[in-house]
Amino acid sequence: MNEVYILGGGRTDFKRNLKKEGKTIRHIIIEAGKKAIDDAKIDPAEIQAGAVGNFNAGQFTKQLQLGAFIPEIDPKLRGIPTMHTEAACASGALSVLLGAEWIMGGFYDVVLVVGAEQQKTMSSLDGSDVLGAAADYHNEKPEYGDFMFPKLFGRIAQIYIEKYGATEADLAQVAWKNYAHAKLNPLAQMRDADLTLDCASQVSDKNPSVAPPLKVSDCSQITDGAASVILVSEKYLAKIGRDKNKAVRLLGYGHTTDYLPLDQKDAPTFSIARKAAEKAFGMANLKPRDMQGAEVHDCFSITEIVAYEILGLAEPGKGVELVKSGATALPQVRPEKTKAPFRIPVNAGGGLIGDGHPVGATGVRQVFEAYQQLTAQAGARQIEKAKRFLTFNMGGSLTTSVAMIWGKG
Amino acid sequence: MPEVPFTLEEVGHFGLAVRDPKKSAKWFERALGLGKEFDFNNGIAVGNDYVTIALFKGKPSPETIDHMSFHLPDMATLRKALDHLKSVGVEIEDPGDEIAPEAPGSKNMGLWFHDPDGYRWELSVLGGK
Repeated sequence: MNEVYILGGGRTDFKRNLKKEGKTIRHIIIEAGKKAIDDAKIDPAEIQAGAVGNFNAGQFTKQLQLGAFIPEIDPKLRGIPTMHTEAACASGALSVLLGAEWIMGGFYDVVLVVGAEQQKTMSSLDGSDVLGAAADYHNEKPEYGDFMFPKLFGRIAQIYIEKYGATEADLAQVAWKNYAHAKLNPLAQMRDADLTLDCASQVSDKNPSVAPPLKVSDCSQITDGAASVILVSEKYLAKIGRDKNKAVRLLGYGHTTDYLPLDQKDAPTFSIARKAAEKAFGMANLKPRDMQGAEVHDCFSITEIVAYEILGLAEPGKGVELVKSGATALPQVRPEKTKAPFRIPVNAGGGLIGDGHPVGATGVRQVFEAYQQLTAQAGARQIEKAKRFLTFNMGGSLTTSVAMIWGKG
Repeated sequence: MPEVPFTLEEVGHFGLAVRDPKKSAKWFERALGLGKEFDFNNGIAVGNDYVTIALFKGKPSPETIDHMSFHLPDMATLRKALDHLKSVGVEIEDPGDEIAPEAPGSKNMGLWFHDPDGYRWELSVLGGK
């Protein structure tokens, strides 16, 4: 099996509203693709295949056949094979995995991966109905009604609270941390937003309840954006004279699929999602404590808490303790020194809550963030001495889970 | 441009297909200050001195017109409109960054939101003054 490396990547500013610019998903796929090619410093003619991660452009924009935008990135890409991956919010991670598996299997040596979503095309009510396609729409919509996803994760939060005794103020720790991280990220959607822990902890006019116990600050927002990476084989690295020991490599990954409806899953344990993490760590022959940073799927604050436990960063029921200890906050934003024995900044760029959640782009954005952290290009949000990095992207109510471990050397 | 022997003046009225004309009429009154003008066989007309909107019962089609813009006289009024719309629970696009150029580089400033049927509305100030 061939090794997979990241040669470069790019992303768009997640604060943008494409409709206000008179642009569409087509423009950001092209923009993100060009950025990756520029960053990787390769001739586009070297790219042999393209993967596009996207959840629901068909309903959000009435446009599909997204692979056909790859040739518009550069005329030299006209004629290459392309594929579109979809698994709800995990669509982006699947496009990375598709590219990686092409390289592992020896089909190609250079693959361009782009994840993209344009969501600001309709009202939030209609948009939430489109997002409902990520759940068991025809069975869960009648049960949960409008704004199904906040309600599904509100239910997960209730189950977690009943089992482990967490509070709304505990969940607010995640929101506060990720908003604080976003301030260090010049491309984050919420970089200019101020959120105090006090405001995040209680329902108010500024922070209304969405789906108890979740408030607005517990939720990722509607986002337009795209992200990209270029994946290459060891053979290609050698061909262009790059040192593989300085390149970012995929050390391990796991990918699992659970039943679609939430009530058929074992919330809040999510044993199937856990298997994805176990596979990733097993393949990399590493443990959670070997990681120096992580990007995890925080579509809602409760999701990050649950993800800590799925990924083995915390024992079951101890996710809240981990975030409260300050161990998952960047030292740059910690209000006081943490005494936690294990420190791992999580969602240093703000995560889905702070950086934004353009659904199909998120999994690719996480991998690009891992690449930036591992190559010391993360600016003010840089994690010191990051050598091993975990990404966890999931779709639906923990239906599709993808854990990936990246490292250098 | 071909010459025509007339010039279109202010908007008289236009019709919008909405799911529930009564509910929509209440929203237009509360959010935009458009009062009820008259009932017709399958809907309600709302308006003010400048425009009338005929809300008729039907299947909404927000993508047909993409968006509609109304001008406000100045930025102070636009900011008052923002506060008012928020106070009556209208979700404005891009929370925290609601007032923005109409297009990149444009001096016209606006804000955008949707009505209950998904139609996208813009309030804007020419020249942003």
